[in-house]
Amino acid sequence: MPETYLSVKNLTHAYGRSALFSGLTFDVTPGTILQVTGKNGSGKTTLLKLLSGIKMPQEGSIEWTEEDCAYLGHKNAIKTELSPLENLALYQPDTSACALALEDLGLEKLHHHRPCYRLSAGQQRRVALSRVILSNAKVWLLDEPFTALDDTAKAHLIRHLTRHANGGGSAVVATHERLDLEKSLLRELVMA
Amino acid sequence: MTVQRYFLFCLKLLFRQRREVALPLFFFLIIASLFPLVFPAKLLATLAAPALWITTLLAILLSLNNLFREDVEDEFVLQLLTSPTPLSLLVAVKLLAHWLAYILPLFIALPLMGLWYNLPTESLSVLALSLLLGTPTLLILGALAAALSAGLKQGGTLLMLITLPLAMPILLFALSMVDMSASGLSYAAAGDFLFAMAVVSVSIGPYVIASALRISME
Amino acid sequence: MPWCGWAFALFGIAGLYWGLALAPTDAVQGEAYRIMFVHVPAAWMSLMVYSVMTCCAIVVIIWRTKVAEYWLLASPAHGASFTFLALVTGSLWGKPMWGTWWAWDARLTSELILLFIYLAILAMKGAIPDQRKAARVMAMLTIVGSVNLPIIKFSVDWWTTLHQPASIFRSGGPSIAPMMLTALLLMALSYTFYYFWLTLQNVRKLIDRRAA
Repeated sequence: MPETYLSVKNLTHAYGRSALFSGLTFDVTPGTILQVTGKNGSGKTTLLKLLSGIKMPQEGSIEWTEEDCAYLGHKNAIKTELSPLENLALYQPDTSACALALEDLGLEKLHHHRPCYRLSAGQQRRVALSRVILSNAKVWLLDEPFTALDDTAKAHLIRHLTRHANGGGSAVVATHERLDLEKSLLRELVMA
Repeated sequence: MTVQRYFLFCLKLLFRQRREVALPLFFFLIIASLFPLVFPAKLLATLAAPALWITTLLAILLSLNNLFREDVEDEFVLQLLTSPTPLSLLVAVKLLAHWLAYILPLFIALPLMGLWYNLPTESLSVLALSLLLGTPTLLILGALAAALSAGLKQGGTLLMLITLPLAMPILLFALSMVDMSASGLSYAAAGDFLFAMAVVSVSIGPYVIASALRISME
Repeated sequence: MPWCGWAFALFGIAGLYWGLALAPTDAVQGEAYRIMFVHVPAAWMSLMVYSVMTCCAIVVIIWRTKVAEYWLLASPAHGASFTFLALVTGSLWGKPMWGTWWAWDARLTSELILLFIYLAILAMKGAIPDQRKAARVMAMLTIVGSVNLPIIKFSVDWWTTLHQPASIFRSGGPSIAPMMLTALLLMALSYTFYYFWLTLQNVRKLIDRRAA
């Protein structure tokens, strides 16, 4: 296991003329959940987009030792005309593994074959989360993953995060929610 | 996400959306029926190919609106960008699926066009060949415009503004091909050019479109 | 930079004088041909500006240099004006010469396509609020559209056209009378300075706005 999955040095990003953040330096090491908090507009989403490679940094560097990451944005990135299983089949061909992941997040079997537009926002969010959990990526980049989730689903997600971290994975989670994780796993990054 | 899985995914999605996918085809049929209606019968033979080519171009432009719009709206495009599979390959198969779903049906409608426009089989087959050689390049050019204007307000109009000037040379060569054949001359030169353009655009197009998509999504 | 403005005015006056007064009457076309001194340099500029833009575009895509981005943002408006000027003056020239305001021959059509491409680039610029991103998008479009340039240049050679074939940039050397050539070159220099003058001003404005 490498010492660190992700190494950020001196990251600076401005939107127009105003700087969002500057000189940001941190590492994402195996077995940690990095919680990114901050006001709306403080650059949490931009940071995640920079880390995932969607945006190019203006100044500074982002070095990955891993090739793959699992990204979850504000929107779910699922196709509503397809069912949850059909959506997940793109990433994981093993249907039973997909079904298991969906159930593990609280989505009952009867919803698995229905087109996603029949599901509620919270249920659709769970499908998106299943995608992250099913991926083999060591690093998860989650932007406000708890939106639309009820308390049971939140608990499921926290359980999955813990399992992921204990298994040597790590995650960067932008959220306002309090994460009930073991202190040893949790790190916090506050965006001003 | 492997290339094969994504290709099948695209096809499945297009099939589920078949009502929307059929719209450009209906548009093609309606517009194509207008010309024989309004043109004097004498001119119909000479104007058939240009009319059908323009109608095809418009139908393709219409279909391009759907190419990236939904993927940008539901952020699916970000999954494509962050996938370990090369984006150019994913774009290539998406375009192939798009061509099969939107442009192939137009070829199936061609015999009907032969009937409407009183085209002899000979001219119809040359027209079909010109479409076969020209539509891949048009699709690539249009997809590039779609990638550059993805997510923008008025994206649809921008798409047309960008694609049309780039598409004009293709249109001209395709029609020259049909024209030459109608005059009994060899259309090999124009045909070769279209073929060359198709090969070049299909081979480097997906790569350029992938870069354009990345730039657009920044 | 003001010296650019002076150079433009100077060369412009010199060129116009040369063209209108000093250059001999054309054997075939008489006096009306003198509109060539406005038309031909404008057409050259329409191509030159696009070539400059293409180079900037390549720099923008590969190295993301800010100056190249500003240059790319500032140029298309001028390129479009030159193209428009070339088309209009060409049309005015065409009427007495060929008896028609317009013809769909290869040279005119490809120049018109160039104008449309310029307009498309300008439309993209207007549609994207973030200037740096706008520059990158415009860069891609410019590079793709640059395929049109050789078509324009060689269109009079490849197809038989109404427009006259190249008489200056030929392998045998110019076939035009020296006085006319001088006038043309003076006008070309004048337009070039005009372009650089205005574009530099715009670039300076963009740099200032960025630093503010």
